[in-house]
Formats: sequence, C-alpha cells, structure tokens
Amino acid sequence: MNGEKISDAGVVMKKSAALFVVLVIITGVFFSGCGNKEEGVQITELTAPVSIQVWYSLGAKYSAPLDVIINQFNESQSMITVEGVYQGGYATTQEKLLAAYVAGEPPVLAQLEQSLVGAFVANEALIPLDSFIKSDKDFDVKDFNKYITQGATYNKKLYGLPINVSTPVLYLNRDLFKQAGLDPDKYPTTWDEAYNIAKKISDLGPDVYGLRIYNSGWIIDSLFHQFGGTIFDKNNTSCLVNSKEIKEAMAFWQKMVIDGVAVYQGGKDGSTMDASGTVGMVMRSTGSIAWFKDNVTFDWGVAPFTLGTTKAVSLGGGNIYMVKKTTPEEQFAAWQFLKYLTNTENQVYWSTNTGYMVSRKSAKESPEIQVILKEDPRYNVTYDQLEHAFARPTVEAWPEIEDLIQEAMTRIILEGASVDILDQTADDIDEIL
Amino acid sequence: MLKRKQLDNLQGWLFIAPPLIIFSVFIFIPMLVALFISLQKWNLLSPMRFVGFANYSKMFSSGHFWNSVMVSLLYVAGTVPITILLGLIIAIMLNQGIRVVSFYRIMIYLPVITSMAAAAIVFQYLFEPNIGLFNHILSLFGLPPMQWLNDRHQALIAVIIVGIWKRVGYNAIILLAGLQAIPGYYYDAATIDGASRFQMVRKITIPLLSSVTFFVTVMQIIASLKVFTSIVIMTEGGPARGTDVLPYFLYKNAFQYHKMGYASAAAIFLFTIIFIFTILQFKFGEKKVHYQ
Repeated sequence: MNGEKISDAGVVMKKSAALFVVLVIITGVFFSGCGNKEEGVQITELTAPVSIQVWYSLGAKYSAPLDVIINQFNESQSMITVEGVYQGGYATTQEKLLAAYVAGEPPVLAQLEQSLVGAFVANEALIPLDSFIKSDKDFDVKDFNKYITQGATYNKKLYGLPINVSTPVLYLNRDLFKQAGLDPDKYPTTWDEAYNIAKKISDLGPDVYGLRIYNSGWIIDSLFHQFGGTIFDKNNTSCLVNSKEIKEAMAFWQKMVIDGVAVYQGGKDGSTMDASGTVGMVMRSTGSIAWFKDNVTFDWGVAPFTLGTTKAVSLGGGNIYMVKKTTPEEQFAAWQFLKYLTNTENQVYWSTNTGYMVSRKSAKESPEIQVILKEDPRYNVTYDQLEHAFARPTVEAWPEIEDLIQEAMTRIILEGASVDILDQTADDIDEIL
Repeated sequence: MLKRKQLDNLQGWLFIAPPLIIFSVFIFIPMLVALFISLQKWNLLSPMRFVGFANYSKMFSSGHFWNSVMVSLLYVAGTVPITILLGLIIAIMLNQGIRVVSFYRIMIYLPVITSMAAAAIVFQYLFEPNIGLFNHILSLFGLPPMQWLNDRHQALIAVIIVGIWKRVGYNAIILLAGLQAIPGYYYDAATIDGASRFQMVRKITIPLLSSVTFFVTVMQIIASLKVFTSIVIMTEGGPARGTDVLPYFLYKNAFQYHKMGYASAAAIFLFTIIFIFTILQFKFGEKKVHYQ
C-alpha cells in the first residue's frame, strides 16, 4: 500500500510542524538580539527625516478618525512620518508589543489597555514622559484631567497620554422601562434599586432581562469597589477576593441571575442581546455611545454606573505609551506626535467622532464639545462620574489573575457554586503574587 | 577533483539539505530550545533564571494542569471512536459502487480542507442558545434547549462535535483507499460460499482493514491531542476551564501569562505523549501483515 506510506509521512510532517509552531516562536524570540539602541539621551531637534510607528487596538469605525489625525500630522511637517498600524484587540496588541520588544524592534508608540501595562512598567520597558513634559514649554500637563491621567501614572511618574479613555456607564432601554410601568428618567442609584427595577422589567416576559451582567475585568472591578472591596491590598502583595465585601458582591449578582432578573452573558452574544432590545440595563464603555447610535432602534438613555455603597467606576480604554529600545530620534518624533494627537483640537475631533471622553479641560470647554453635551446630555454622564474613577491594578500577572477571578465568577453565577470557592481563588492568586 | 564516491555523497546531502534545514530550523532546534527554556523561569522581559525541574514539579502539582490533561483525554475519547466508526460506515457506503462517488467524496472531504477558524465562527452561531440552529433542531424533536458553549460540560460536547465534523472525512477517504485495496475475489469467494453482506464486512473487510484502521486511530489521537483553533475561537478554554485542552493551556501560559518556562514544560509533556503515539504507529503500523 504505497499510497498509505506517502500520506503517512505527510501527516507525520504536518503533525510535528503544527506542534512546534509555538516552540518556533519561542526560538525566534530567544535568538533575536536585544538591539543596540541608545537610551536615556534626549535630543531637541531632528537633523534627518525619521519614520515612526504607532500601534493601536481600535478597529472598525474608531480607527478612521485616528488615521485622519495621523495624515494631518504627516502633512503638517516634513521631518516626521507616522505610520499607524492596527494590531488587533487589546490583548493581541499587548502580546505583539511584547514579542517586538523582546526581539528589539518595537514601535516607539503603542496603545495599551489600562490593565495590561503592569508587566511593561515592572520590567522598565516604557519611557516615563516626565522629562519630555518638563523640557517642553508648549505642553501643559495640568490641562489634562487628573482622574484620567492617574490611569497612566505609575510610581508617581506619567508613562502615557490618554487616547480612548472611558468609564463604564449604565445604558438604559427606555422603551422597556415604560412597558414595565417605570419612569425612564428615574435610573437606579443603588444596587437594591437596580434589582427592583430589573425585576419589574424581567417580569415582562421570559426572554426579557432587567440587567445584563458579564465578567469583563473592569466591570467586576467596579462592582467589587462599589461593594467596598478591592482585589488587592494596598501594596499589591496579597489578594482580597475572598473578603466579605467581594463575596457579598458576587452573591448579589448570583441572586440576580438565579431570580431570573439578570442575564450573565458577555462577548458578541451580549452585544447581540443589547441590540435586540431584550435587556433593560447594561453597563458598557463610554465609547459604546457610538455603537448604540448605530445599532439600536429603541429609545435609549445613559445613567451613571456608580451603584453600591461606595461610588466607584474603573477607568477603561487605553493610553499611548512610549517604548524603550528605540532611538532618541524616534523618541523625539514620538513626543512631537503624541503632543499633536492629544492637543485640544484633535481631542475634540476624536471625541466627536467616537464618543470617547476628551481628557483635556480645554477640550471639554471647547464650543464643539459644549454643544454636544448640551444637545445630548447622555454624553455628560461619563464626565460626571469621573470623580469616582479609580485606576486599574498594575500587577504584572494581571491577565492570569483576571482569568482566575472570571473562572470563579462563572462557576458561582452559572453553576450556583458557593461564594466560598473564592477562598481557593485567593489562595491561587496569592501564590502567583 | 572529487572522487566519484565523494561526489555521490555530496549529491545525496544536497538532495536532503532542503528538508533537513527546514526541519532543523523549525522543529529540531526549537524543540531543544523549548527543553532548555522549560528549565528556566522567564517572563520574556527580564533575564532567564535557571530553576531546574521546578516548572515540572509545579506543573505536576497544579490542579489546572491536570484539569487540562483530563479535558484533553475526554476530548480524545469523545472524538476518536466516533470519527473512526462514522468514517468506516461512510467508506463502506462509498465503496458500494454508487453513482457520482467522486461528488460524495468531495462533499465528505470538504470539512477537512475548510479553514478551522472560519468553520469555528460559523459553529459559534449554530450553537447559540437562543437563535442557534442546533437548539432549533432539538426543539423540533421536543427536546429542551442546551446551553452549549455557555456551560462548562456542554461546551466540551460542542467542541467534540466540531472535531468530529472536521475529521470524519479524512478517516473516510483513508479507509476508502484501504477498502479499495482489498481484492474483489475474496468477496466473490464469500458470495459463492453464501455469506451475507454483514458477514463479509465482519470477516473480510474489518480484518483486512486493520492496519489502515490502526493508522487512522493513531493519527486521530494525535490530532485530537493537538486541538487548538476551535478552542481558541469558540470557547477560549472556558467556561471555567471546561474546554481548557493542553495546547490551549500552554498557549495561555506562554503568550498571555508570559510564563515561558512553565509553558515549555507543558509543551514537552505534550510532546512526550504524542511522541509515544508516533512510535507506536511506526512500530506496529509498519509490522502489520498485509494480505497481499
């Protein structure tokens, strides 16, 4: 059976090849040099043209306004050429940046999501912007909202400038409110009120839910804070997910799902539910305003997500960071572009096209933004709750810790496990820390 | 001047150079590097630190690792027997001399060459609990809806179904080739002796097909141990690690948690298991008697 032999060899080859793809990548990383880039030198002028890259994770309609700003910057001067490269979602961008950094060829600018920066800061892979800010008279860092820049501040140094910063806000299906005999202008301010409103809405039918919850890291971090708990102690040395407060928060969500008041559904399927009009309330990013405008046909409103005894919402979205292992020329060019990208005019342009917050006070005061806030008060909510915003944890192993907490949450909410399994989760996390 | 023999030698080396270089660069060297990294603690950003077998001992005492081993074994147990049985049935049916056999062959082989990533996305929709096709079909038979990908145990069933769909065609085609290699005179003789069709399948087809069946079994076990794409796209190992197969476990540890040493240890473990099956295949698969 000759044919068998041939296909045999082919399959063995394919098999081995696929198995070692992972290992190949590791080797690539292993054998690539670390580059011989100068560091710690700051130049004040470019003598030759320079091209730089900025990596970002904003797909779909969010990338178009960014491209416009990049093109305008390139046309505004002749020395610096910026190339924007879309790298996939937040986690993918972080993985690729890590690989590029280890290979010694990182882009000088990269957008990173709030909770994914820890590893880079802990291993000193990013350049603090303070020296650039200090030596640049045109740049007034005080114009930035301090609640927003705290998300990019580590050890009292500012590492990044905000681009698409958001907080979770509560989107309301006002039609469902009315059908349930509720006043859509009376949004919940505590979790108990949220429960009661959600209960009335879910009574409308078997496929209607008062609230959609899911285990996205920044949402559950907000929930825990609202019940008075935090995931880590002050020094990030011990995990507190088995605290009384967090167990109470988990039990509350578990009860909402068991009672049929809330539905536990994240991801694409969650968005599909939001658009289908079967969900009374859902907490989503500030930036989802644009998504709601495009995808939703019912009457919708926005309310603060500061439920619970402690008013708290986590900072979401991303900042743009400057990466080490790059040349002083690239860093100088990167700073010029960062300044341009975050100037008042471009923040206004970015915000009006995406729905994300502006981070400069001067941008918020601009006539364009003021008109929007006046015409559509739904845009105000995220600014109003900003004073309750807290920065995400900066623990290096956050992705793994987040997975462990999400796993426990899924077992508690979907499988009815006791909240006491969080004791085990806390032990597992302590071991990682 | 090179001697004739040297020239022959050189020629031989040149002929095998391309595969040798490709194998070395992409397989042998990375394998050794992975072995090396598995003895280190390394998060990519800071320098490596030698830790001996700490990664292995940590792995063997980790509940999450054994959960992944268990999930992988369940996946193998769920896919392999069914793909082989279905593959055999399809192959026998195709071997009946039905018309437009090449059309059916193409249809059955289509999933094998379909991009798993694309198929997984389609399957995600089919498994959707509220509007998905599968729950609709269940409801036609008066069966209660399933949660599929939203449930820890049902998610594994869902990815097993996708695995079966993906690979049954491969088995069918290989087994069909095996069937066609069985000489017709055995069946002629059996017919003269008055054997029934079922008896012929049992006494002639299955024994004569044993070496091919062994081959596809080993291949399917190896392929099932390496399942990855459908998991990444459909479940990301969840819910609550219900589909956290070994390849996904090591991928996550390497590229999301940046625990390169630990992930390499898991890779070496997976490699060892697959290597054992490969040796089995070489040792017994080649020795099988061919009745020709």
